[in-house]
Amino acid sequence: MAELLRVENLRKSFGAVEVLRSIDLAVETGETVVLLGSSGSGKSTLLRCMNFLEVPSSGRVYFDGRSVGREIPGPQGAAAMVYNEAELTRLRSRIGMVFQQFNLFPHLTVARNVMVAPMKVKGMGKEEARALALRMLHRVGIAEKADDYPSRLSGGQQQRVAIARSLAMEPALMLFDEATSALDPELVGEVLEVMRELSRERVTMVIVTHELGFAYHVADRVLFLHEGAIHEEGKPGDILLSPRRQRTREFLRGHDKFRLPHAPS
Amino acid sequence: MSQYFDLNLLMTYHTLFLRGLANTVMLTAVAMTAGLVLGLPVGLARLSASRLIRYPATVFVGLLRNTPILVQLFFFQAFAPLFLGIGNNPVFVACFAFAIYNIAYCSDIFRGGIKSIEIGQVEASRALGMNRLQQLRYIVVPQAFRRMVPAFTNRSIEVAKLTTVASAVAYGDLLYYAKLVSDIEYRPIETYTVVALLFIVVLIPFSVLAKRLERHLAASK
Repeated sequence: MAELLRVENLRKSFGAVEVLRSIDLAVETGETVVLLGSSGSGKSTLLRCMNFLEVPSSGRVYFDGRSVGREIPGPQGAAAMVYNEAELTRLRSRIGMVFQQFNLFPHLTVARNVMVAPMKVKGMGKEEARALALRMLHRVGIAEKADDYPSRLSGGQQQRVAIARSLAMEPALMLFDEATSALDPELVGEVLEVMRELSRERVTMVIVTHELGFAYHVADRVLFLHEGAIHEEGKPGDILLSPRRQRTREFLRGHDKFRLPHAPS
Repeated sequence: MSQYFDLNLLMTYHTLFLRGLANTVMLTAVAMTAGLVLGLPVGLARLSASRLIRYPATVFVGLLRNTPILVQLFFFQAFAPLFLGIGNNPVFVACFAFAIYNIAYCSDIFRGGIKSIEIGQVEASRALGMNRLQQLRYIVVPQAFRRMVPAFTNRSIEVAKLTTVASAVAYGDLLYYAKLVSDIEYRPIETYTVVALLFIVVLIPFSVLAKRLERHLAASK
C-alpha cells in the first residue's frame, strides 16, 4: 500500500506547555488508524496538526508524497518550517474532518451544508452539487432530511450530515475527532456504523475515539498516546487485549470501570 | 380649534414639512448605507491579527465615537472648503459627517456580531478548504448578520433622530424647515408637535417591519 501521510518528529507547544513531543507516524492509503489515550494525552492536537488547524511547533508533515510547507534555515543551523496559507487551504480541501460538536452550519439546510464547499471551493455547479449532496446523504442514510435545517435533527443525524459534508469534498483522508463523544448513548451506534462502513470501503481514516469496542473491531492499527508521545502501537487485538506497557494497561482498566457488569446467570 | 393650538394653520406649509422629512430620510439612508457597507471592513480590521491593520481602525473608531456629532459637523463644515475645495455645501457636510460617524458605530456592531460566532463554525469551514474570505462570506457573516439585525434596527432609529442636529449646519432636514415655519408663524407648539408626529409615523412602522424581518430570519434557523 502507498503511504498517504507521514509525520516526522512533530512537536507542538501552547506557550510553555508541550502537548506533543516528537511524534513519528505514517498512515497508508486505505488504512483505519485509531488514536487512543486519556484526556490531555495530545491525541486531538495530533489530529488537528494533520490538517493544520494547528500549526506544528516543529517537525514535518508529508501528504501524498510531498512535504507540507517549506524549510528555511533558522538561527544556529536549526531549520524552521514556513507555511503558506493558500497551500494549507488546498491541503485542507483534500482532508475531511469530523468534529465532536458536529459544527453544522445552522443557517443552511442539510443539503446546502453538504453543497457549500464543493460549490465555493471547487466551483461545482448548483445542480451537480445538489446531486452529489444527495448521494452523500444517502450514503450516510439521511437523504430524506436534505431540506431540513440542522436544528431539526438529532445529534446522531447531525453528525452523519457532518460526515456527508466532509465526504462531498472527496477527501483522500478523513479525520474523526471524538465524533461520538457528544452524543446520547443511544445515538452513538448509528454514527459508528457509518464510520465502520467507510472503513470497509477502504476510506483512509484517522480516528480519535473512546469507543474501545469500535477500535477493536474496525481499526487496522491502534496507537496509544501518553503525555504527548506514542506510548504503544500495534494491531487492535494486541494493544487492547494484551498491552505490553503499564500505562496502556492502566488506561484500559480505567475504561472497564464504566462497563456494565455481566448479567447474573 | 382653539387659537392656542391650531394645526390647520400649518397645512399651508405641508410641502416644506414633506421636503424636510424626505431630507431626513435621505440622510438616515446615506448614513445607514455607509455603515452597513463600510462598517464591515472596519469591523473586520479591528479583529485583524495584524497590528498594522487593527490600530488605525481602532483609532478611527475611537476618535469618532468619543466626539460629539455636532462638533464633527462644524469641523467638516470648516474642513471641506479648506482641504477638499468644496464650497459651503450643507448636503455634503451632513452626509459625510453622518456617514463616517455611523461607520464607526456600525463597525462595532459587526465586530461584536462576528466575534459571537462559535469558533467551531470557522474551524468546520476551514477544514473544508475554504479560505478566510469564503469562511466570512458564506459561513460567518450570514450567521452574524441575523444576530445583528436588532442592533442595526436600533442604530437606524438612533441615526434618524440624530440627523436633526444636521440643521445646525443648514442641512434642510425636518427640524430645519420646522424652525423656519415656527419662526414665520410664531407657532412653536404646533410646529414641533408636527415634527414629533412625523417621526413617530415613520419610525413605528419601521420598527414593526424590522421586528418582522427578525422573526422571519429566526424562523429559518
